[in-house]
Amino acid sequence: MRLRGTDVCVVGVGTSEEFGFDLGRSPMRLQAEAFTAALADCGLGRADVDGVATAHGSPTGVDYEEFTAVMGLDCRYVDQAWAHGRWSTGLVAHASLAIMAGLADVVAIVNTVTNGRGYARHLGGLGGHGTVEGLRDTGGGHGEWSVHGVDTPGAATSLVAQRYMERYGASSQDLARIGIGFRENAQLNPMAILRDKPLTQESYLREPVISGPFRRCDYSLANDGATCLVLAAADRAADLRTRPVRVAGAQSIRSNRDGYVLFSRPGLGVGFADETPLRPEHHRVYDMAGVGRDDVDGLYVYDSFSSNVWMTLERFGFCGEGEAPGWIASRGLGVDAALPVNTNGGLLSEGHFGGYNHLVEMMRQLRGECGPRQIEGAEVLQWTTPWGDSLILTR
Amino acid sequence: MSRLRRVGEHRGPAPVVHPETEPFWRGLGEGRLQLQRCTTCGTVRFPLGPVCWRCGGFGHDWTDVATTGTVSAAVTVRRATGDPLWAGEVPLVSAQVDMSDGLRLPGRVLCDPDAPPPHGTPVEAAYLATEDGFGVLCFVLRNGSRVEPREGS
Ligand SMILES: [Zn+2]
Repeated sequence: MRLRGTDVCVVGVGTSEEFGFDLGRSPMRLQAEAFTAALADCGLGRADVDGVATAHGSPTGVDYEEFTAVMGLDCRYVDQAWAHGRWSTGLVAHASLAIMAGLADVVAIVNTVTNGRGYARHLGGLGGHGTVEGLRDTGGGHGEWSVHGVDTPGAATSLVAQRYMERYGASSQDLARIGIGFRENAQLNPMAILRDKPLTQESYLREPVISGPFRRCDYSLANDGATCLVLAAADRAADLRTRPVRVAGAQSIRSNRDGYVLFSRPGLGVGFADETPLRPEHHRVYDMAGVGRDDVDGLYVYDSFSSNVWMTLERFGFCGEGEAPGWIASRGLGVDAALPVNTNGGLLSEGHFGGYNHLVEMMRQLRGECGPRQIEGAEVLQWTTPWGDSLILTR
Repeated sequence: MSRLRRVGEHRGPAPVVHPETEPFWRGLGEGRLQLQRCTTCGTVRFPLGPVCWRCGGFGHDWTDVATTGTVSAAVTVRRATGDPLWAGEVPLVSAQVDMSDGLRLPGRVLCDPDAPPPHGTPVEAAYLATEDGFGVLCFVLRNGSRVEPREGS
């Protein structure tokens, strides 16, 4: 295989008409809405799409071949990852490479989630509890050990947060600032599921504890909805009516023993990882994008749990070891902050759509379409996760 | 190495025991905490696996490992949001423990759920018996360990 030397762009984005806890619409219906909206956004038709990629298959999402059959697509490139929210970078990077290699011209990245109290309750086949990976010989990827009572990503991540809080002296008030900050951002986003539910330090502390230091607002939402991102080569993008956004840089998940527990970070000493001082990593995503960390106008973090934000800020060097709670307290997370974070409200308050909703937001920010939550002059936006993958999108 | 005390019955989901991992679970059911030791480089490993993560060697024997350690982090799980088998057991305390020989192992700590032990609390390995004669690793506070209730735990 040989790659064409072309830039790849996000040319269109779309979502289901609504995000919500129980929308009364099937995964296929939601995904068709998001796909149709994304095509309308960029002015392409179904016949232009020759690639489809997804992570969230049936029963709570839609498998790739169901989707091409139902939508009447004829695809020469398909990809389906694993029904976890960790593939946003991977799907975008792989679709970009597929376009560069000539395997496809236009790839739609489509992802749908439905939850057990939403449409998924009609779909059967949902007998599993927590994540089945918690029963593997190695435990779950979030640090679950189902036979020890830590059988959900939430309980497992509460252990990460507990270790962090004891090691660096962070408090429940520090944890609360994350959920509160993203809730305030959500109030400016009409799509955010919790846009009308204000959150304060007082109301946060009144919530019952679920596990370790985590209260309800430290957990992302379980919800229904779909997203679609349409990718194409830069020359193709130039012919479209919308302003494309460049996929400027990417780096993959970093996978090793030290990084086994996804929502921790290297050096914290959770799972099988060594407990060490935080060692600076070289993040190639900046080299590829030709920008530095200081050029980033807005940061988007995989916030399935509040403490993920601490891990990510430190791992990517936005602050030093143990400094994330103070960084957040002094700088804030809102659109007016020196570095706005999750202006859509994040997985905690817009909804858990695997991070693809953050990518949709990044595209809209770079096109200047975000109204009251617009980051002024946004040119470089970064997607990051605690487990080390990243994307940089530029105008 | 000292035998582990049986401190109760395991009521959560049954461990997935298969031929390659059976000695670990069987050993616990007999009060022995044993793990795989690489016959090439001597590394004792956790989690269980067919290969040594350090040298890639396949050969191993089973060796008794340290049964005391200190809490790395412990949490009280108050709501069973996953497997309903845990609904009757919460609140429960679960932890990762830094063992005195350098391994870090997971397990419940059988203690007051309003006072999950802080980092550094000395604990001792024990086991909960399963119906099939296997054991599930857990921990108890070591003699003399006193833990104050944790705010908002
Ligand atoms: Zn070895």
